[in-house]
Amino acid sequence: MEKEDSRLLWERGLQFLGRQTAAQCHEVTNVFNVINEMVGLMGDLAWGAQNKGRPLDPDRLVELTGKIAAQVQRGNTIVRAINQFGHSADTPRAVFDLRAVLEQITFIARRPAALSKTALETDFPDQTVSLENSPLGFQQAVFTALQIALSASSERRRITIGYTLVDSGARIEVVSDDALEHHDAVSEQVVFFRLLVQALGGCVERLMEADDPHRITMVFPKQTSEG
Amino acid sequence: MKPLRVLIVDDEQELVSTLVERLDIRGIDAEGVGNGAAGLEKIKEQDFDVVLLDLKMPGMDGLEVIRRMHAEKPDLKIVLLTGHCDAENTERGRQAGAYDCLVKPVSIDTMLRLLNQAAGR
Repeated sequence: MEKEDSRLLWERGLQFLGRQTAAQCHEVTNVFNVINEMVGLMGDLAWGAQNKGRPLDPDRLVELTGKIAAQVQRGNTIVRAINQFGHSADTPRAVFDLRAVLEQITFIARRPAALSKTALETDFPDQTVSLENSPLGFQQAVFTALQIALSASSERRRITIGYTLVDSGARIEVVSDDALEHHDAVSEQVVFFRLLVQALGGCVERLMEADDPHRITMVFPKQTSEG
Repeated sequence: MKPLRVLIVDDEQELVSTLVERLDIRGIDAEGVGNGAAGLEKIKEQDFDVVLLDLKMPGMDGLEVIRRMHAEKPDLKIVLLTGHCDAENTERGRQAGAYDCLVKPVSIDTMLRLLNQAAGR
C-alpha cells in the first residue's frame, strides 16, 4: 500500500472515532437536558405547593420519577455504546462477533441517519460468525457505506443494514429504499470506501450498480492474512 | 398584559412537553412541536411572540427553519435553544436571523429573561 494511502486511512480512522464519539456524547447531553427540565419541573411543583397552596399530586411525582429513570436508562445505554465503540480501537486486529459489531455500529449511526430523514433498520439472520479483522476499521467501512447511501439519495426514507454468511466469511449489505445515484459528492466517498475495504482484506461486491442501484455490498473473510 | 406566546421546536419530545409545562406554570402560553416542518405550520396558524428553536433536528435543521419562518413572518423573534451554541454556531444563527442563542441546559430564569427581552417586555 502507498504511504499516502496509509496516512489517509489512519487520518480518516481517527476522524471517524472522534466524530462518532463526539456525536454520541451529544446524545448523552440531550439526556442530561431532559433530566434537568424534569427535575426543574418537580422543583416547580414543590414550590407551588409550598408557596401557592397548589396541591401536590403524588401520581404526578411518580410519573415524573418514572420518566427520569427511563432517561437514566437511555443515557446508560448510550454511554455503554460509547465505551464499547471506544474500545474498538484498542487493538488493530481482533476476533469479533459480526452481529454484535453490526448492532453496535447501527446504534452509533442511527442519529446521523435520522438527521438525514432516514430510518435505519437491520435485517440480521439468526446465525452469526466471528471475523478476525480491525474492529474499528470494519465499523468504519459499514458506516462509510451508509454515508454513501445517505449522500447518494435525497429522498430516502429507510436504509437497511443486513448480512448473510458465505463460505469465506460474511457479505454485508446496505440497502436503500430509494435508488442511489452517483454524483460528485459521492465520488470521493466511494474512492475512500474501496480503499478502506481493500485495506481490510475485503472486497466491494456491488456498489449502486445499474441493475440494482439500491444496494451496496461488501464481503469480508473470516480471517485475513494481513497483521 | 397578554401572556407571552412561545413556540418550542425541538425533536426531544420529553424536553418539549416538560418545558411547556414549566413555562405554563409561569403564566406563559407555551406550545411545542417536534420538528421544523411542524413549527412552520404552527407559525402560519397562530401568532407567537418568540420561538425557541433547536439547532440540530432530523430533516430541516434550525438555520433552515429560521430562514423559512422569517420568509413567512419577518419580525418573528427566534431564540436558538441548543447544545451546539459555540461561537461558530452562534454566529451562523445570528446571520440566519436568530435573536440570540441559549445553551442547554439553561436555567428557567435565564430563559424567561431572554424570552421577555426578545418580546420587548
